[in-house]
Amino acid sequence: MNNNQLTQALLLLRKNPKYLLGLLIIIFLFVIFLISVITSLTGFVKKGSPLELPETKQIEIQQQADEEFSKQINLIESKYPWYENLPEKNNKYFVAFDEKEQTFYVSLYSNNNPALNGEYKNQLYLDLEKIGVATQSYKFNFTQRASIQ
Amino acid sequence: MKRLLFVLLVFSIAFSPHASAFAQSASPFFKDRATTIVGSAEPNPSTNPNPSIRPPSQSDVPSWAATFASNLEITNGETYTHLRQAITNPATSVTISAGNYVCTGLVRSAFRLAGETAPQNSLASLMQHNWKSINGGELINYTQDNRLLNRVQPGDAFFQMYRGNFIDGFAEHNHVSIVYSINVDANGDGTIVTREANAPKTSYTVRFQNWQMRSYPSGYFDVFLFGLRK
Repeated sequence: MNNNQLTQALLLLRKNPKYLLGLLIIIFLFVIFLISVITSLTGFVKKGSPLELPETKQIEIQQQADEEFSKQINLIESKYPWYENLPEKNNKYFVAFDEKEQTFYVSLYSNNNPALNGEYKNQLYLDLEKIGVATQSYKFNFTQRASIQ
Repeated sequence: MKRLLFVLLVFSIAFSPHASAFAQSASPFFKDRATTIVGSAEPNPSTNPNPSIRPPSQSDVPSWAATFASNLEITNGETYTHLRQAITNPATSVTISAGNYVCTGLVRSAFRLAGETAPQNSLASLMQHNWKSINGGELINYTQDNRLLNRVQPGDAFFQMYRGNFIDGFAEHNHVSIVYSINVDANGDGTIVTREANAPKTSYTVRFQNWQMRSYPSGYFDVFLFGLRK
């Protein structure tokens, strides 16, 4: 299309508002179409905040995430069958196990008394062995506490 | 001319993605019909005199989460996904249909049954993002400041996510559960007991020592946030 043709087309549009309106409608519909395609391709529909995503898509993604999560939990529990049976907090100690570090983190409520430290540690080892922990296979990190809070 | 503009307006609304999202947000997922539990939530455990222990007594959210979780049954031999019967709270006139639920289903249902507001998202990362948009909702980042654990109460949402694997800035693989009870002392030693859906168990004990999370789910996820209630 050369300049003359373009000028004539513009003049035609100016003389006939119906043509102009028709052109605007076509442009508007095309923009709506483009927005729909882009949002369906990207998944997310941004509307400032909060974000939205079609419900079925959310469930599909979350189901996959929950399945992966469950596999990992099952893996941990099969590797450490005693994991959920660690002793409750008591007046001698509180124990937690960090599987990444392969370390038991222990708070001893011995009030910095060396005699009690030994006694409470022995009690901890005994309690862990009762639930099947091979205590010699893991590291222990002890923190002295004044007393149970 | 007016007719043309009207047709144009209807066309643009019908094709708007927000219109379909709105329609979908109202519909329950995987819904089916079964018998209905009508009544109160599970009774709360007895109150512990130790002030550092926060039992689930502040609202009905943890109790309804427990009721929901106790009515889940295993599907595919792996996860507690299927709510075997509908649950109704006559006090709030809310009924949760029997059917399959992902982890967010428990959070949404417990809040609805208790008459409280939670973002009605099925994707945990979206629920997390939208948490602040609910009335009085606050999101705290335990990973950035583990002393914030002090502020966690029974009934709060517990969000767990990866640092990576993001879609549009939000974690794709994310999980959420409800804090059923919390017992963490002034030294940062103690536990959080959760209620879960779509997981191998309906309850887990998360252990903290010296404010550090030293148990599940820290071996899998690495960013943890709590959605506080107003």
